[in-house]
Amino acid sequence: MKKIFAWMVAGAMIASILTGCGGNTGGGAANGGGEEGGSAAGKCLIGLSVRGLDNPYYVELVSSADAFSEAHPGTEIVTMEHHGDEQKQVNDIKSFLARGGSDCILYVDPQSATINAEIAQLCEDAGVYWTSTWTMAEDVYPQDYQYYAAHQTVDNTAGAYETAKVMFDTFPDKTGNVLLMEGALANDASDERTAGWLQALEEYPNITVLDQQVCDWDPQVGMDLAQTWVTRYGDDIDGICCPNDSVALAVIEGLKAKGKSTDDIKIIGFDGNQDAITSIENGDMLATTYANAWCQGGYGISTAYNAYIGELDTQSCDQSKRAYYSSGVTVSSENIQEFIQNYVDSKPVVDYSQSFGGFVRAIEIPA
Amino acid sequence: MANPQAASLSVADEFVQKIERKNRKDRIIQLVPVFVLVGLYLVFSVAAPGFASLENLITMLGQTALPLTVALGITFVIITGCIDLSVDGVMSLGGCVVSLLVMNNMTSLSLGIAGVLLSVAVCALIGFFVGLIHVKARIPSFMVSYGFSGIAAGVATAVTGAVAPTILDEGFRNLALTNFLGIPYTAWISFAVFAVAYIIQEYTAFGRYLFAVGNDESIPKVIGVNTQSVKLKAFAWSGALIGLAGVLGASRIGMGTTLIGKNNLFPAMTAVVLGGTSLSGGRGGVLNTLLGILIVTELNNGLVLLGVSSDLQTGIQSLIILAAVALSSVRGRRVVSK
Repeated sequence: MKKIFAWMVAGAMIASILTGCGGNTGGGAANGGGEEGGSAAGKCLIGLSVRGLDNPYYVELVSSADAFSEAHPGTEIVTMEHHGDEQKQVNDIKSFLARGGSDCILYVDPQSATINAEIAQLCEDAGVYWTSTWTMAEDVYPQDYQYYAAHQTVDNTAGAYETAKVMFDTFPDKTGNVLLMEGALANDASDERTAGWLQALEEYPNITVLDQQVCDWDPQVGMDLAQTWVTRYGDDIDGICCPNDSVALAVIEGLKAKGKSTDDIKIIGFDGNQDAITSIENGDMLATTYANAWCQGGYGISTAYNAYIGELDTQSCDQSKRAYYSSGVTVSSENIQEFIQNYVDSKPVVDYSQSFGGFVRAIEIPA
Repeated sequence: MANPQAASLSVADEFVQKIERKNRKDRIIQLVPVFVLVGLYLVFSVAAPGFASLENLITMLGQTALPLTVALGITFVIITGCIDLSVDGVMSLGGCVVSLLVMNNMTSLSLGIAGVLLSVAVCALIGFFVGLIHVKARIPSFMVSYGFSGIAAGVATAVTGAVAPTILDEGFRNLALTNFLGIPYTAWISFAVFAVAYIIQEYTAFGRYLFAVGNDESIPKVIGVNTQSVKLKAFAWSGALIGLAGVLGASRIGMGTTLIGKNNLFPAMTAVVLGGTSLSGGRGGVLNTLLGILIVTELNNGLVLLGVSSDLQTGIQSLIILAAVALSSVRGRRVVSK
């Protein structure tokens, strides 16, 4: 009896896991938009190795890839979610390369820099062009490989610098007190964003930093922290710099619960989430940096694709362009309507024929 | 004739004395969390500006809402000697489900309080299944509950999709945004849950069985207690409260995001152990958990008010917690360390 029960339970668990996966596959297939299924022969497979479609950023990235695929008949998008597991990411890529042979390209958002060398080698051996986003490893630069076509990332520092300036400019006489809430310690994105705020602060000598704390990218922690700050600094606070939009939105809720208005305490975030855009529209959040997943996807895929079809020669092109910062968009109450028109109601047009799209400046590579 | 009697008396006396000594030691150990709480309060009052102000005390009480609810849930499970690691996933699920059931921008539902009850019921059901699989299939509870954390998180992601629904139900949002005596209603709810938990623990047979099962399962079994049912109820209770914490979390941040449950397991577990509830079961209780939560909240708040930099904070916090646990836990041959 016990055994039967155990088997039933095991069956139920497997079924529930399968249903869970089924949901995701369904989403993936829907995203595949218009492609006929079946054999991949004669097709160029475009692999997207990303963290997970539970994050709006990656959903937008996949729709951008779909738009690319629609514009390029004969291509098919394969989305691989690794859910933060770098070993799974490497294994997914291995299977993808085995499936696609030489007729495929890859767009990778590496979970951590430690696996970049392995991916670069796998693609080099398979003769598959790929590009990376956000995370680049030291010593693994596109310039050192033929098939590692490019690395692009939104300039965290520049984005944070611009939003901080938007905030500081709202202060009367450009004088005030701010609090800095960092994402996590020893985390690239968090450190770069903090560096951006500090860079802006240097230009505003009358602005004082009251305190600087870490919230672990966790909205609830950020909210508690903001409330504790309100208790300690009260009406002295003029603004809080938040590491991303999820935290910023929670901080706004926390302030409201403490009876504070976002007219008195300005809040800035990062990412350009849909909820953050709504919040800016409603006059709650002051500004954010839109990470531009739509364009990032288009830039990364088209660079690898151009190399695949022979339009781009990775060996003879301008090498400094192969690792670069692309532009984020600073969104504030000033340009919110324009932003909604260009990025929400419609999507910006990405010139797929261009490689290294959205190039702002090269990432310095140590000699 | 007289000699053996005297000897037996003295053995009995010795036994009584031994028990008394042990009881005295136990009482002192039980008071350690209180000393820690008061001690930290005194230190922070002197050193941290604004710590002892009424406003800050109210802020701190408001911040206990979520961790206290979670910790009260897992306390019963821990007393039985099992463990519930499903916190992060089930809490996210509770928050995501409720955000879709009360008025929101994604579904046309607006169930209000029924939506809240339904979300809590879903999570209680998950807790029940964790318990069922644990006791019937005899799979260790940490394994089952950890697995269900992942399943619940997956379902939470699936039901809300990629974009978190925004909660538009004002009455629901007001649980966190409005207050009574300065303390948000979310915190009052958690205090009410504490009262209920205390009554269950102290004045019901189920409450006493929890300890009996945790001490030695074979004894209540002999006198005819259905120990499996006790464990099942404890897990369902835990699931319900974790779900409730998710609901309160959603009311706080106004969105049904899977981030609601993130990183809630360890603070709650820390508070339970810090308060003096033994991970091996049979010792402790909800009063200990309340003390543990107050200490953890006090530490978080006080260190920020002191202006201690983040990189030092985690270290200092961990040191104080370790020291408190070392002082308050009973060690000996009979105590199993896991």
